Amino acid sequence: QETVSSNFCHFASKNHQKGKRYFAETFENGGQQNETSLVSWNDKPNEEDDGNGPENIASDTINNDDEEKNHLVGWPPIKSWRRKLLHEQQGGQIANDQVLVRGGGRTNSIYVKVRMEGVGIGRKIDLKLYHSYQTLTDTLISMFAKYQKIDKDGASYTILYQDREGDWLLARDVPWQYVFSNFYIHSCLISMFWSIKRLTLFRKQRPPAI
Amino acid sequence: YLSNTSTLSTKMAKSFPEEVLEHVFSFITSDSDRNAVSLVCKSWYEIERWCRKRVFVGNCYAVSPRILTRRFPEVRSVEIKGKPHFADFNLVPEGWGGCVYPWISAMAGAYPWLEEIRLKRMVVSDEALELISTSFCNFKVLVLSSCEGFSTDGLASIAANCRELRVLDLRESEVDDLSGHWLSHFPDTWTSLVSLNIACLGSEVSFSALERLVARSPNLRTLRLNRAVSLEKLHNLLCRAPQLVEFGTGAYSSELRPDVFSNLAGAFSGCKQLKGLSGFWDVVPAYLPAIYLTCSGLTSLNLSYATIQSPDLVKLVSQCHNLQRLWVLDYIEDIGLDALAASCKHLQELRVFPSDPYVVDPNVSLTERGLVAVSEGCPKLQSVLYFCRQMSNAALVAIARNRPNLVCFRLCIIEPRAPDYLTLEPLDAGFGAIVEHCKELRRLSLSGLLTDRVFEYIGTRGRKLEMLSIAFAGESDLGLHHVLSGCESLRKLEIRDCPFGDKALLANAAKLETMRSLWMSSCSVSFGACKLLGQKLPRLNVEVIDERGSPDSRPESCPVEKLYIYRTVAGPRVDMPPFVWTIDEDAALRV
Repeated sequence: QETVSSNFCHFASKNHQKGKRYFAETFENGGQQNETSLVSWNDKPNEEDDGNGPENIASDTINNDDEEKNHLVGWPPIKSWRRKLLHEQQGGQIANDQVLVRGGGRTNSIYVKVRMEGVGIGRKIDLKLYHSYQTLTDTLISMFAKYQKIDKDGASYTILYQDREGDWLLARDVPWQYVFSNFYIHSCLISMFWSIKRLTLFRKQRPPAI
Repeated sequence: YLSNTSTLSTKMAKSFPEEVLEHVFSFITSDSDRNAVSLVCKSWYEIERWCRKRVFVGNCYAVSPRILTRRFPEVRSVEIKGKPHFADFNLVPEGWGGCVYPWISAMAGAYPWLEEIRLKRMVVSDEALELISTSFCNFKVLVLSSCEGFSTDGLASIAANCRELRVLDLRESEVDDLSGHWLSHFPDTWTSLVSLNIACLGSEVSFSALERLVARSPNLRTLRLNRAVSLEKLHNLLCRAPQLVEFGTGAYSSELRPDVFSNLAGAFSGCKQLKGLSGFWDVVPAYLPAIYLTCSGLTSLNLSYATIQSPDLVKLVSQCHNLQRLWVLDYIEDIGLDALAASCKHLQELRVFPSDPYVVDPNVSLTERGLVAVSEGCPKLQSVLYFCRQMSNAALVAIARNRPNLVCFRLCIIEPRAPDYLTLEPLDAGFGAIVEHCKELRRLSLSGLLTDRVFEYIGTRGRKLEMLSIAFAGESDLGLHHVLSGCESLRKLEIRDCPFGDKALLANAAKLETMRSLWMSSCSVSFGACKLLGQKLPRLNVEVIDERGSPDSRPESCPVEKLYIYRTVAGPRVDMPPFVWTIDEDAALRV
């Protein structure tokens, strides 16, 4: 936990001048955040974690996402059409920071990996299915509630994401409809959103007693 | 007259009117009984062959179209299987065979009254489909299961020409999806469709054509849509077909809108006969409650594409008290399987598929405990397919003791050769318990760390076992020998990546004639042994599949890549691709 906050403060101060609203500003005690869970969101599910960011996750192996085990043909024994579906659900390929549009008539699924500190179990969710931060948060909370005593009240959690430069930024600064709308995939803001590396669920700091 | 009963029975056998016998035979429907009847005597053979209406060909190369049509002239329904089962997992190279055209061509001439064709793992061309559509004026049923080689153009011919069509079921086939317009080829006035399954099609079909088709098909009982059909439009179809018994949705996602939800829920609740649901791609959990009212009537639920998490699955499954069959992803987790065990006391079949099979570490909390819970709580459970990442002998023993009525047990522990995770021992004892307690077991798939000992258990105790799948198991030929020298009922044996070689095969060569087929890939069977088998057993086709070039170019002791041996009355194949070799009686190599 100490590593988390120290990493965090480091990034916060390093990039302060870029005008991004940082965790340190958002929360009262910049270095003392009451982090209860860490969820990582990797938009390149098959990419090795690059190592910058809160790394004291329970096991190294959860960031060590093996590429599809093509070493063994036909194992595990799954029918080809089901394999194709899984392949899609693993996020497919992201080339040149653009999501490849898949299949005629189907919505672009954006499968991201979501993990929680202290739990070696990750999840994949399709961001396209959620239409607001609230629904996303609700789902993440219900997903992880069984692993950790989480306050079911969504209001005490907020979502942060880490961009390509390693800065932790407040997700709510970006209106939801812009985050995933196709418009932005093709706009100049693409570099900001598609370099999202990690999504963190933090408990909001209680206001200090006056 | 009644003095000598043996004379009487002989007299009766000879003088009993054929028509009466034929009438009696018409009550005998099972293929094996029919086969038995035909062996009683010559006249019974003749009578039986003239009145057999339904034929099942388990291996399209075991018999030829000509032999079929010559022996059974009055067939109305045919089922044919092509490629070996491991073709499902890409182990059979492209172009191997299993082409249906020669069969259709022969039957077009011999069976003008043919009504039903069911094909599995066969290559079906558009020409074949067109030939079907124009050759059989009374054609009613077409089921293409895991087939390939055709496009929507072929479907258009079927739609346009088969005026009596009742069933068009494309389950899991690979279709070259050129366009969705083929559906409009169904004649406007036609109404006899009972079952339509287009779930495997990728592109959009014209929704208005679909709607009109449904509206004109009052006998429609089964409708399985493809992913491209959007959720918002679903209620239109359901309202036009409230008599549906089985329904497969398209993509089950949409923006959250109250009107869409209430339309959907209303439409579902109007389908009072609904027993089976499937589809559920891209599920938005908020729309699941729309089906809650149907749950108590459901006997079959296929959620194996639905990426919903265990809380939603639990809510759903807990309401399905009459559920007999559940296919689901491992998102259900142990906790969901606990709920299943508690709520679904009529469950007969459970299939749990992996959501992320190519990752070493578990992404969900699904372990052996879930399966044990279901085996405890569901007294009618007889068929299991379960993918998981850990297993123990203790769990397998518990499952075996809980559920001696298991008929089909297919366990896939994702990591090859994974031991009992508690004791680090092989899983021999666990699977041994399964074959010992489950005396009616007909199908078994093994996985995990296994020595030769498990095969001894299987060979001696698996008396009713008909199909056995083995992967990454065993230590020596002794393992294979146990299976081939035991397992009295064995029909299909498929093996991959096991250290089995020549000795067991050659010692048990005769066994191979009592089985439908044997598949071995990435094992240690030498080309020399294959030649020997091919020579000694003329009623078997011994086929070597090797993409490295002719086996003659390598030493005889060199192991072959893949081996497919099957019994046949049709002689060697005449349509082998360049990578398949067979050995004829002269031990000459034939391509």
